[in-house]
Amino acid sequence: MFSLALSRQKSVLLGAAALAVAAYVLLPLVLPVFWVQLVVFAAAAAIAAIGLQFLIGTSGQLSLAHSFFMAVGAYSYAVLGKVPGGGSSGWQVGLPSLLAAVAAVVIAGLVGLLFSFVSARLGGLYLGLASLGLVMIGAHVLTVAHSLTGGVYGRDVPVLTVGGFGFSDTDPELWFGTHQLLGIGRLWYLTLAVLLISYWLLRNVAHGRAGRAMNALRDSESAAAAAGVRVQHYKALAYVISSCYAGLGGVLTALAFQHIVPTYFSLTLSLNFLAMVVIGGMRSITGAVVGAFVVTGLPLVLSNYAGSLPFLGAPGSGGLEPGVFAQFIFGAVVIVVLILQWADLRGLRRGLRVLLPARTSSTDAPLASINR
Amino acid sequence: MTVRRTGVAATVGLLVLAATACSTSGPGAGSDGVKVGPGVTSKTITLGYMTDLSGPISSQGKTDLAATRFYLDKLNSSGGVCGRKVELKVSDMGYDVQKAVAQYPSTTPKVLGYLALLGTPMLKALDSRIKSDNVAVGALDWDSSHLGNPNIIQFGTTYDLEDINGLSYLVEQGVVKKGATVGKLYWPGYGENALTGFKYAAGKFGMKVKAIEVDPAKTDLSTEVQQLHNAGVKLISVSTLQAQAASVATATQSMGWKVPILGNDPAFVPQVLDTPAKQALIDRLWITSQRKPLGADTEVSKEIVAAFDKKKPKVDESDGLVLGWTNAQVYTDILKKACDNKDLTREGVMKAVRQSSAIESGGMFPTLDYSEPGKPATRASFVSRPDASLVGGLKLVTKEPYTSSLAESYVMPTSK
Repeated sequence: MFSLALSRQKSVLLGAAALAVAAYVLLPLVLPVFWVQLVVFAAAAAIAAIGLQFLIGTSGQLSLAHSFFMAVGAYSYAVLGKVPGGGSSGWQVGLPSLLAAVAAVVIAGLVGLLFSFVSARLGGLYLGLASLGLVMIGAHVLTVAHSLTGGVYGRDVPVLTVGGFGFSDTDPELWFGTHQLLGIGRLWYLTLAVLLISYWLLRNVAHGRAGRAMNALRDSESAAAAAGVRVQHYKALAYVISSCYAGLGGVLTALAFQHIVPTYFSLTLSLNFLAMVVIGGMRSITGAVVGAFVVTGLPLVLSNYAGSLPFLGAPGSGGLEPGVFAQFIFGAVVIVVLILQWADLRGLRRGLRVLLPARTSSTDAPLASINR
Repeated sequence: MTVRRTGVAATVGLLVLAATACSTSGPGAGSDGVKVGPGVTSKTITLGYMTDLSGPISSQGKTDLAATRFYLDKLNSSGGVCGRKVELKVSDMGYDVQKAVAQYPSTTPKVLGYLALLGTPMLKALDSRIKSDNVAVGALDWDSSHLGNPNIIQFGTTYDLEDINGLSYLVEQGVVKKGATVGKLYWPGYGENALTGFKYAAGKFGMKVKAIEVDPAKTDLSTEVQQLHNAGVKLISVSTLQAQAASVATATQSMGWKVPILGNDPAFVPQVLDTPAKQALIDRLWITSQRKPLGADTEVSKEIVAAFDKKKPKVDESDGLVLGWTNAQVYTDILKKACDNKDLTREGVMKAVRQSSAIESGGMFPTLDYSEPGKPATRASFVSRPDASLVGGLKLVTKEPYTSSLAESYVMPTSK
């Protein structure tokens, strides 16, 4: 016979899993579009963020070029795919969209490989500054190479179609009772599934042989080399994996946007990614995911709801703008999260214990005392 | 068993959520026989207003919005449109494309159309959604590429035409001679479109163009000015942001170079006349614009200034007030036409846009004609010069709407 505690713990876990699956399936149908979209944006950002976390936290290479690699992914997908009727301004290859998406990720990885020759010669802050150059070059190319990027106007993003099923509002129209499954809802399923898979893959790499080798060279390149780790090989590998993840995040972000413009892929975006990783505690993949949701989601939520706060006037009526107020709150939240390290899983648990002291006192009390 | 119970509870919970999230609203005819669409009730018409109130061009965004509110207050106190008050649903996207894309789908179902939507990148990112939702969008942006979208309403002429008129005017006045080399400093945001027009006109005048792209955040333009000086330009045209026209004036002044400067209206704010560049600006700056300045001697501008003095909002008393006021007037005039047709649906509004072939705005804009999609509402614009004694700091020098012969014959990039 199993102990009562174990089976209870197990069933709580299974219950949580069932809840998660139910939420995954049903929420896009019932949540307001704003929230579905927010989760899609955040999940796409999370994919790119865990790539950066891997690069910084696992292999010890600083990069400020993450927005550049995202742009490479997003624009490659737009150029390689096909917008019916040529709605976008610019040249297009016309590949099937799934193939274009895969190719875009590969291209981002290849560009990462090219840059790894630079990263082989630089380290620490110097590497970070060198990667900054990529953002500058990227911003210039995106506005100048009209036929590829559409210049400052940007270009339309092809709809992803897999076996006749389009990730758009129509094509085919899907209704569940009175609820329509819109394109953004379909992207919810796709993006969260891709996030889960890429999370799992990266975790395996980080905990495997390659991850251990990278950890070793992060702590000391010469010590790692002495232990037989091929330093350049693993540094390059980390850069390629990270830029592939950025490219993938870029493709998914582009799909959610439907139209991409160069101003989005700015240095600010790179800094946001750095913030996601730092908030998540540098060494934790899960932390980077939480960081991505905080950094992407919070400003959107705050700017959307700050207007309904009673002590702020209507937007544009003078006084403190809700949008500005939202920026203050965001800054404050980031500082609090950093100090308490809540985004790190252990910190989150500690934070929950502080916030919910009553929970341990009731039914779990005997168990808790045994554990102690 | 616990598992199943938890799962069932979760499912039930979500279904309850589903039921409550259900909304029931749809188009139909009101009691007064007017067909109504999203955002319209028997008492109100709600219009979207997406702008920047917290980002890099928030001072412009706030000024425009304040004056739009002046006009709507006046309109609503005299009965509104179709017996309904016109209300705004303001969203502040902070000049951030992601925020604009995130806010648009939650705002759009609640509004009939957008009285204003600011910024080329945002309009471009939302372009296809605007078309598929068939909402009439008032653009606070004069890039001529928007002519490719029939749902976008621009207030006045486009940047390329504005530049053609500006350069033609200076040639006509003998400020710059045909065949000279002319310089252009531009910010890719809107300056690229202005540059297209500028190059076209310069080509027709046998002029050579030396164009330099500048970062909008840059405050010291002496390097660029030196480059233009070395190229021997006889005119500097600036399609950049606010303080940069002043920066060009300062840089040329310190070199002792008395070159004329032509700017688009975003390159000027009255505050620059409080800087050491004041005299250089007064002597050598011309501003080309789609609308008359606030200091123009018209009934409308007097009304705007009176409203400003009464309400005293915490915004710049600048040219943006003219834009905000007339933008609201033009858009609601279109709604009045839709009301006459007893059709306040989105289709009805778009039909009214096409029926609007001569919208007047008390002379602040040239007569605007929206009857043909793909054509600019007007090819005429105005030229002003700095004058510190006037409110808004600009004095109109072209009394009538000015259309150069080159602007008449110019083929819009979208119709090529």
